[in-house]
Amino acid sequence: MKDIRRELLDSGILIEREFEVKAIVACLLARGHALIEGVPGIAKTYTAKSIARLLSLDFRRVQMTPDLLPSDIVGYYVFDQRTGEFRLRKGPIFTNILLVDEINRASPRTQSALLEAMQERQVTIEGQTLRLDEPFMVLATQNPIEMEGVFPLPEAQVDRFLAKIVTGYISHRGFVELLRRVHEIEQAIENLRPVVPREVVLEEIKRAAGVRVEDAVLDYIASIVEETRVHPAVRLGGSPRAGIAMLKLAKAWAYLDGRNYVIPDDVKAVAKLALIHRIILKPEYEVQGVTSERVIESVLSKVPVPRP
Amino acid sequence: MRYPVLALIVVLLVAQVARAELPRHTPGFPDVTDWQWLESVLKDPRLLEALRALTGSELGYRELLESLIHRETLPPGVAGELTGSLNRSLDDLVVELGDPRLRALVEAVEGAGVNREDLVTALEYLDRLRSSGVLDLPRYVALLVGLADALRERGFEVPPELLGRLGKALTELLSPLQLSRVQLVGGSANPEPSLPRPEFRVPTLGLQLPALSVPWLPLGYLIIALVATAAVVLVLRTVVPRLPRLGWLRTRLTTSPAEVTEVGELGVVELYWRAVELISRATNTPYEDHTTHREYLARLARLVGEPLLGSFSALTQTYELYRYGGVRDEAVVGLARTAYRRVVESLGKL
Repeated sequence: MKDIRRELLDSGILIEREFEVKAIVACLLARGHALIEGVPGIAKTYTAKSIARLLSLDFRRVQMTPDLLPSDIVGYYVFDQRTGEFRLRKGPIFTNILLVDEINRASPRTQSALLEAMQERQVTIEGQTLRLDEPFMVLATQNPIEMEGVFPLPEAQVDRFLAKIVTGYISHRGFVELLRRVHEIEQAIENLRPVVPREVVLEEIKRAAGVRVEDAVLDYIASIVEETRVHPAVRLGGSPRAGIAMLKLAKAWAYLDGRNYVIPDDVKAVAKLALIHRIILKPEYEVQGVTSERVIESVLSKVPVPRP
Repeated sequence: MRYPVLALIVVLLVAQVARAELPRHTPGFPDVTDWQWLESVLKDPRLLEALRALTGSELGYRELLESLIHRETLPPGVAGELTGSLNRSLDDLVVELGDPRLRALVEAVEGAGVNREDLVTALEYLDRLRSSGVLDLPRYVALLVGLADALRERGFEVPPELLGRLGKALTELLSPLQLSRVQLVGGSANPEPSLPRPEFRVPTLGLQLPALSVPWLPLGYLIIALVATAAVVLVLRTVVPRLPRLGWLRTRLTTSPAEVTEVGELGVVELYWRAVELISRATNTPYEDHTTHREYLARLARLVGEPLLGSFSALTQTYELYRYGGVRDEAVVGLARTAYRRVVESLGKL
């Protein structure tokens, strides 16, 4: 997995996207799905696509539109006139990495079609349940500022994402660098070739799952999640699933840092990724400009780190 | 903020040195420049003994009165007469009077052969001389002072009869002066004599006494030392920006060699937290509850340099391996002990 980061970052294909790349790879190692949120034009799709290309995995991309049907994603049965039987035509969801572009443009019905696949790693078509290949990861992007023709993801759907990666504009210096090398970067992305075989990905997923976690760290994670529930600005705090997401991400984070054990720093590093989309603020605080991000920062500055 | 404080310290230091003497007034001891206090001394001889012990000087009634005479507000005539009498010895005064009985009494006092009754008789004789006009007030005061000091120097208790007479004589000596300075109701001419006069007050006397600091408490030198230390620390902190706050001094005082030798019995976790405690005190960088060990190290990296940073970094790594990585073999413990020793040594070099 280090090869992916090196290919993308050291070669200059992605500028100032270290955190996003690491977060996406961590999601993959944790067998989770990632929701990338940001305004248009900040390389959300590029980032996701580049990572997918570097892996020797099957990769599909779906551009969500309001008229997209669930069957367009999961597949459907067609009648084969030659054989006189119904034949399954698998949808793009039968892949390893599914890039769902602008997920909030799809209708709620289509969005919910992803639910089973994301959670159960299986799809049911015409009563027939089909397992999805491993690894399976949904990389969805969404634009937070569009109001027309979008369907905000329901809480249950958002909760299916292991992490929400909120990304923003790059710095002025990075922007200049991007402008200087724009043609070179476009060419480099087209020329990206897989560097991580599927077997390696599966092996590393297993290793990441086996990362050691002390009880004190588990206690720390639980305390953070519980603290989000009692925060005065929060209407709905983190669920046990949020805690599990933190744990999985923290393990992957530690693994990517070359450790086989989790430290509190890993938990802090992934807290926003795991919690930001799972915290619902009270409207009176929301109108005052309080954000989930600030609430998480406040919680992290309150909950004591494990000490012997 | 640093420079005004530094300037203030320098000014205080210069002012203290320029005074070149210890404070004249010792806290807890009454200010002797007050006439009422002098009156108290005359009423209770123990006060004079206390004053003598405190100043370490041969202070007597004569010196007290001389300081009274030196008061600037005394008219030159009164001051001159009193000074002239006081400057003469007891024998000279007695010889000048030419009274054999008085001479016999004084000789008895000087020869330590007088009893209290004889002394009272002598005082009554002096009163008679004073009332008959043979003895004027300045010389009467001078004789009383001379007798009092002679008795005191020979280890006798100065009788209250003597001191009472002395106090009364002094009041008499100063009364005309005081009355002339009283602001009468209705003006200095007081056109209506029946109106009550303001309460009589003896003027405050500016006694020129020796410095009254306690010899075994060199307060001035202590202040100078403290100010100088503070100035040196401030200058060092200005010149060497990475020098930690005053906490390093506390650490140097609290970090004993025993702490290093005790390491052998401690585990990695205990060593780490002990090092954190020492460093947090030394650099004034407390370890907050919500801080992780890596965050603390990163914070410290902005404050201190090598070798402390390197040794504490090594200790942090071993702590992390031991605490969270589950690596609990002797090699890690050995590394932690080595790193801890280096941390303590580095703190000692700060």
